[in-house]
Amino acid sequence: MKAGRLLRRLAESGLVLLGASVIVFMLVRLTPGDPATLLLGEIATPDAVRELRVALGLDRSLPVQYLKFLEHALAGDLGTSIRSQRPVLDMIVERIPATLELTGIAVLAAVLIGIPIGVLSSARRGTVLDEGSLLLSLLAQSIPGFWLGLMMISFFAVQLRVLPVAGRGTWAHLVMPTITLSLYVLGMIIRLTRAGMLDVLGQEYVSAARARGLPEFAVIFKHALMNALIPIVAVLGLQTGTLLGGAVVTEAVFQWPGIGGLAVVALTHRDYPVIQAIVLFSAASFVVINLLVDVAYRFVDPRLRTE
Amino acid sequence: MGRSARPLARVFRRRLALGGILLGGAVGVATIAAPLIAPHDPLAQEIAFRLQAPSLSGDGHHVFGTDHLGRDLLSRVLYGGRISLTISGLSVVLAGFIGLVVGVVAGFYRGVTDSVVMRLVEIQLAFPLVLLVLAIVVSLGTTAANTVIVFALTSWPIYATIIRGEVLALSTREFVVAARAVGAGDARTLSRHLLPNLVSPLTVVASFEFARLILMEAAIGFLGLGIQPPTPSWGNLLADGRAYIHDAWWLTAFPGIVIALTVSSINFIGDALRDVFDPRFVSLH
Repeated sequence: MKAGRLLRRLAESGLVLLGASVIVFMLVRLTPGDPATLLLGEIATPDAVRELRVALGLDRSLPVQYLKFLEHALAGDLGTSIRSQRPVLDMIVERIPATLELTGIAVLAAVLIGIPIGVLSSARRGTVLDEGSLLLSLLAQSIPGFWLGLMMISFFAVQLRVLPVAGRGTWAHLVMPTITLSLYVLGMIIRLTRAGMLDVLGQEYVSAARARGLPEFAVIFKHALMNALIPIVAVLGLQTGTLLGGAVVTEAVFQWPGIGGLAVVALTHRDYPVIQAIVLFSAASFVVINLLVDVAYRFVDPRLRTE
Repeated sequence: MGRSARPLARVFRRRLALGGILLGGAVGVATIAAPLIAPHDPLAQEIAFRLQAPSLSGDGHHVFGTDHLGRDLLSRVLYGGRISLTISGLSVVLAGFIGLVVGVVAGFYRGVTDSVVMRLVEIQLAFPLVLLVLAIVVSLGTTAANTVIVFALTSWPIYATIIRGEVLALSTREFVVAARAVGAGDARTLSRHLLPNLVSPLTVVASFEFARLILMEAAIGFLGLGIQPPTPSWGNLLADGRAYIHDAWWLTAFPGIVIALTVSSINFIGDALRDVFDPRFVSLH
């Protein structure tokens, strides 16, 4: 990837983040009523409200308020939680490992199950196997993941008592949240793999590999899948939002101590600084992940370098 | 899953779609006819019969059981469906309209409008939809009208991107170029040549979006940030179910099964529609 192109891509990412910060800033301003009154509650004295308005800079114009917000955010100051009075950044940072663990394992599970199914269904196109995989991918996108999670709790944790109801700690704690969250991306991975494989299987180098007498297994997994994987990873990067959204609901179901769980608590208590910070954090994660995918993509695929 | 050349896969798709039409249609009709067919008043409490397990016989039996206030779950699922399907359906219409207008303007006039729209789409893509929807709904207030507005405001970019792509592809096709050459103006080109060709991709996207928004409504209702009780919605029924997960599995099981069947039906139909008119069709042929 040439330096100029990389710089341009970086600038684009910066622009997206800047736009995201405007939306996040406006979120709180959507609330009917005065944020200061909201923060202090209905019983606050007019003096207290006026003081907080000045302290929060609410007496300034909107553009000035936004620039202040941006300045603080860039300095790593995302504000203080209304509920716990703690710096929001600390609250998010300490919950990153739990969310990374859950989302990482869920994506891994979805990839390990979804890619073989997608490959098989492309190799056995039009058979019962292919139909089964189509049905599975449609169902995975139709069943509410969190509902499946609740049913698993009811069956495995409440009735059979073989898995813990909620929380984080052992491998057993990971089983149900992983299945729940994987469902959000499994259907998509199956579809993508099948479509990507069908594209690649029609290419000349695959026919050439077959003509050279390579075993079918080697043709499919070495020659075809390796090439089909690149676009799959690129599209998966764009699904970061779906995954983080799924994590919000999944973490709420299993009281998983991650960022998603924190988001739901903050939303329920209208803890706006925390909500803003988490929304901004997820947008930033999306931008960074896709920047990395993009750079890696061009690195792996030589055709894109000379573009 | 692209354009399947093999008839076998196509037949299977059509069977699934037929099943979807029958099943989804049945759920739709049942929710519309809820006041006629619901066995009980969805809000009527009978504390003496609280948390009754589902049963098909006996005096005053409840097919889906009763909830913690003794309300009939089947009736609540039927009435909840009216709310959930109406919210999702209206949002699809509103978002589809915004997306169509924006996509056509961006694809047809290109230039500055196009860049601005595409940047907006990119920015919106960066947010997890569930989180963005929740944050806006919480800020605006959790009413049905606000939910529709937020759903529409967060989902129009999907339509806009696809419509824009279609318009760009169509604009280079011979019949459009020819119409232009014989003097057709913007209005005529749009209404006679472009819009009719946008119906299919719009239908495909709308069907998948309808399914997705039903799931979204269920999720935000489940988190307690959707339609507020006592009015039942599919989402807040699942929130009740979660609170009594140790005592009453049916409160979670039945609303969830009905949601899964409905959403599957719509996705089956959408999948078959996509097979018939793949959105990439225009650009590939």
